[in-house]
Amino acid sequence: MDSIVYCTVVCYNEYAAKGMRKLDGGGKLNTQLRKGVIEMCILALIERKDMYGYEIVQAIARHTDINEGTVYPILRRLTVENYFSTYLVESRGGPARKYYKITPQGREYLSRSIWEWRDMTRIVENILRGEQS
Amino acid sequence: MMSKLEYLRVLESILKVRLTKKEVDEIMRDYAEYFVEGARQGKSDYEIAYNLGDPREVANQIIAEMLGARGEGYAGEAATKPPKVPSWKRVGNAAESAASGMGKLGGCLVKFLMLAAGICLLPVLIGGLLMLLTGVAAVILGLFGWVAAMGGCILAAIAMLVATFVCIGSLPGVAVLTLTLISVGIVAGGVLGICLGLLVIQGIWKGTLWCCGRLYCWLTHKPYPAAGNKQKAGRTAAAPQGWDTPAQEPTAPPEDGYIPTQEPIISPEWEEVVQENPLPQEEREDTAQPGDMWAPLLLPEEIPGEAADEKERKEEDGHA
Repeated sequence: MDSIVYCTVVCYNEYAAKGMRKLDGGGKLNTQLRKGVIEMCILALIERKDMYGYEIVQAIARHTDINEGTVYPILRRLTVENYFSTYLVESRGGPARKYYKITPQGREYLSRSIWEWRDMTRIVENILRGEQS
Repeated sequence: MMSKLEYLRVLESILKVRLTKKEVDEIMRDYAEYFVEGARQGKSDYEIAYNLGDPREVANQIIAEMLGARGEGYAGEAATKPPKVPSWKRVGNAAESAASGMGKLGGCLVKFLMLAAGICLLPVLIGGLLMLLTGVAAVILGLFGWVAAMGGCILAAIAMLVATFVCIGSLPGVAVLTLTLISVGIVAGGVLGICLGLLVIQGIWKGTLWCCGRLYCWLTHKPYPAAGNKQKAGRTAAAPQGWDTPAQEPTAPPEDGYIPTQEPIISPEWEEVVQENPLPQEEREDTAQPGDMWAPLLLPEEIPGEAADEKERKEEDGHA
């Protein structure tokens, strides 16, 4: 799963670096792509281990230039759609942290997303190779 | 630059326009937790706010995501749909598409027929509209006549009353009483009649305006402004002071009902907890229990009891 997160973020980073300097700008394609990719990254990260909001945002922001505020809305929607469940954990010397845990539905959705992502990248790669040759 | 308080205020003020209080509270809790976690990592509030991005954009995205999850529409997504075409343009487009499929001669014929039909229908439409307006005007004028008649009756009744009192000596008491009562009755009835007539005129006038507005909106496919939106229309989101990256205003058509408030208004309980000025101790104990909805807003040292525990722990560690 690590490789998927890394690959997804890196691929998208390269894509962003070519035409779109930052993930929060650009046109409709950029917005839709960004949402889809970040969504998959979030699912992949939480599938690996339960994480709290700040941790998730930082894990993604470590790889790419992103407006950190854009992650929470996606996180929230995925929770509303029952892909995640949440629980509070008291932290020592601080307030409780809200942890996100992936549900079976979330796992299934992630598998489907990964399959679609790989299929899409394969098609795009084929087209790009064809254009270059 | 924006402080934590400013950021959360702007975020809440926009969110509460479309989301339920429970949803807003949960989202605010998450963002407050984020600020606290950032502070733990040694980041300043300004830095965290900057990294989060413009709160108005964040709020719009949250609303879009939440409404999308609920299956409701949102202006941000509606913007991606093709714009509605007015009826008269659709007719023209249909003629164009019909003409394009029939060759040059057939196309010219179709266009000519459509034009002729339009020219023939235009007087009918104008005539119908004029008749409608004339009817409305006649009704209004009739009502004005009714009001004038009522006024005349009142004047006549007053005249009768005056005459009765002038001739009070030569008339029997019963006749004077009867005439007086009749006059008063006519005056009261007349006043009521005038009020009724004016009310009906007002109603017809408003109804006519409403019909014309609806017709105009239907023809042009513009949303008809609801009464509530007329009041809100003047309110636009003010740029928060100090936010140095200009962001686009949240755009939503009036029919969507999403118009951000002009000033970030904060709920009393939020204000009470969020404000950076230190609260009185007893008040703080009420609001800042660990695990409370708003507890993540406070830094560890701000939570009653927690600071003392932390100090004790440090002392114990030091002794060890």
